[in-house]
Amino acid sequence: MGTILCATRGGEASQAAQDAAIDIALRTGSRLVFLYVVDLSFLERAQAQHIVDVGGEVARMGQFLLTMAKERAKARGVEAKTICRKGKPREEIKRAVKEEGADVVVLGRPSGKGDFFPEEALYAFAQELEQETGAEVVIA
Amino acid sequence: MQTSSKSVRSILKLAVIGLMLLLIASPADSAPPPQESTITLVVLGRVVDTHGNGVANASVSIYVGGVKAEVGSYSEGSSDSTRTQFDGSYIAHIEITPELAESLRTGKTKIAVEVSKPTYLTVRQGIIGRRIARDSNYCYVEVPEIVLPHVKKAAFFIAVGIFLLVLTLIGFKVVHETVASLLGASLMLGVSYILGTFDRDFRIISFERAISFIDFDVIFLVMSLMIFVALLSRTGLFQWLAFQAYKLGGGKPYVIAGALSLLTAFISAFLNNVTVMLLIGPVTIEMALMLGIHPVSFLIPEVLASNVGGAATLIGDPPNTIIGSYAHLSFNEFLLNLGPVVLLSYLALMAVVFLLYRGQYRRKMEEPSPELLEQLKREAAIKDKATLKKTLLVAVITVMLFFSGELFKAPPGVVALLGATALLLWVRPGVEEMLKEVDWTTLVFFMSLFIMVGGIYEVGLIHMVADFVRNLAGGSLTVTALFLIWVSALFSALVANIPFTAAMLPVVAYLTSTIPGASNNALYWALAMGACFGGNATTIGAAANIVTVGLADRAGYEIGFADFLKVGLPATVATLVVASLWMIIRY
Repeated sequence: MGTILCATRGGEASQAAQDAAIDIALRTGSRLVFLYVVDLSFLERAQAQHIVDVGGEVARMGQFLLTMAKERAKARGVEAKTICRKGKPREEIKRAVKEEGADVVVLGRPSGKGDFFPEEALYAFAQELEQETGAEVVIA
Repeated sequence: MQTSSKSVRSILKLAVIGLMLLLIASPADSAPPPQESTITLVVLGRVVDTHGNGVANASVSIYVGGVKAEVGSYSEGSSDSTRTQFDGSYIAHIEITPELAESLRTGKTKIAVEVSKPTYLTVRQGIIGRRIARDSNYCYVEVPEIVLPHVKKAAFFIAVGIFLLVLTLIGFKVVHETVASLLGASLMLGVSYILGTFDRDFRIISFERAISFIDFDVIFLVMSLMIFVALLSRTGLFQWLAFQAYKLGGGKPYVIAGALSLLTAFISAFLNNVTVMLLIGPVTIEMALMLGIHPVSFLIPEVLASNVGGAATLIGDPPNTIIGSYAHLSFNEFLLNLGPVVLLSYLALMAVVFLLYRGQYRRKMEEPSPELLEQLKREAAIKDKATLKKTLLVAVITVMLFFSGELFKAPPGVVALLGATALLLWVRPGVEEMLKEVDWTTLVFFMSLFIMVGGIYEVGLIHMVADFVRNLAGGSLTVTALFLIWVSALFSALVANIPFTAAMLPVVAYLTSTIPGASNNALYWALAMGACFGGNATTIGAAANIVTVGLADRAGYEIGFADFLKVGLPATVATLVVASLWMIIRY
């Protein structure tokens, strides 16, 4: 039995990725893991007072989003594990893939508005992830 | 042995006290007594710029009978010139013979004062005998006020270039704002000292003068409020309040949006908007998702309300803090002059928001899942009741002190510092931990910014802008106020409101002192409203907008520049119209 790792947030794009991951889990009977990465890089863009617990606040929000994803999977009969970790998304995704022994990684397609993962950068990262971890990357 | 040691200590104490008395009694801080057969010529006066503000650190030389005299000053001893004080005043003393004193008094010998300073025109002014008084030992010369106009030399163009560069770097978010302003301040000082050594035309500002531009009232106020916020943020109060707003909504999205926005506006009147959004934003996203509402339809009204609410008080938004400190405007004055217009603007803002998000707010909400609701309740619980009670009590006392600040003549920075220190003593968090909570980058940003504003003030850019605005408005208070509201709003929306406000303050001070009817500080209120409300138009207009966009992105909901503009711009226009009407009717 393999492991599917779905890196997710909570928006429409992420929901498509979650659904794709659930589909694969149903089809292959693989274990499903949802990952949320607490990335605070947005704070660097603003002259803002960075109180210590911003990470904690975003982590709690991430946990909430993961619970939503878990419920989404459960509604379709798939039990999922959730992981919330702090750091840079690229590094944390790679680390989680290795730690969970994932053979399939599902990433959401960028919506085109944000600059978090522009499409070209996403494909480049997917290639890099496949080379480094040996996992198959699905962009949903 | 012990007695002997005590005696030695007593003798030492007496010696120290004696030495101190000697120092106090010494004539170091008074003019030296005249030598026999000489008379001390005391020359005193004031040097001002074209706006009547004292010119500090200008070199003053005295010419007696066409010859440059050796001048003694109270602080610098003897040299061929003395320097003006912070308020532009100077006193110089010259030893002369009684015959020369008489010759000066009768006008036979001419006396002249020459004032020079880099970035200013050198001015030489003769003094007529009528202004010379004499007694047995002293001869006093009162020099009429000397007006020193600015001249556009290399320093002017370099300082203006540096300031524009920094605004560009901040506006386009090329580098962190603190780095940008630090770069600006260090470039101005670097040019002044390195190139200025070879050619005085490159001297923008001296280090001493630059430091004098730093408003430490603002620095202490901001620092102290950071300590309050850091402690309050640990208690879970904001999340708890947001959850109460959700419960109050009773399942109606527009009521929840209104309650959340009102709550955010109110808290933002007393605390940093960015922090408020960082704490309330995540819970808001969760509530929206739980109800099946697009989170952005709750988040954007919240951040817009936060920026409007922050305009109500002296401590609500950095532009207000800077304005209050510069113009010595009290907490009460802010509340009385801006409180009502902020309330009206909030209503206008909500009308726009309800209109634009009516589709989302009319949607049937989903039944929240028990697990998600439970998680939200856990998150929104008060986490540290003991700290909350103590912090709230000290905060209430501090706010009361702000209200009664006029009674004690205490600057807001002092009041906030008292509160923060009391909090540290009572709650006893680790001092190192608390100091880590203080955002030093923000304080460095403020200090560098004040130095840069000092630089453009010294070279005369501020004077130019002030004259331009005054001429443009034709001396009309209403036109000037409206100009300030809309122009500062535009700058805040496109660049950043803090640098703009800091740079505009001396301009507004000049306009306040010269435009008929402006002594009621109406122009300061206009600047505050424009700077605070204008930030709502774009994602980059206010730091709170940037972090809100960041939070939404972390939840997977991107808010593009255009998305924000669609709501932010009409909301900004609505609030600015209210502000303009308020300005016309009230002042």
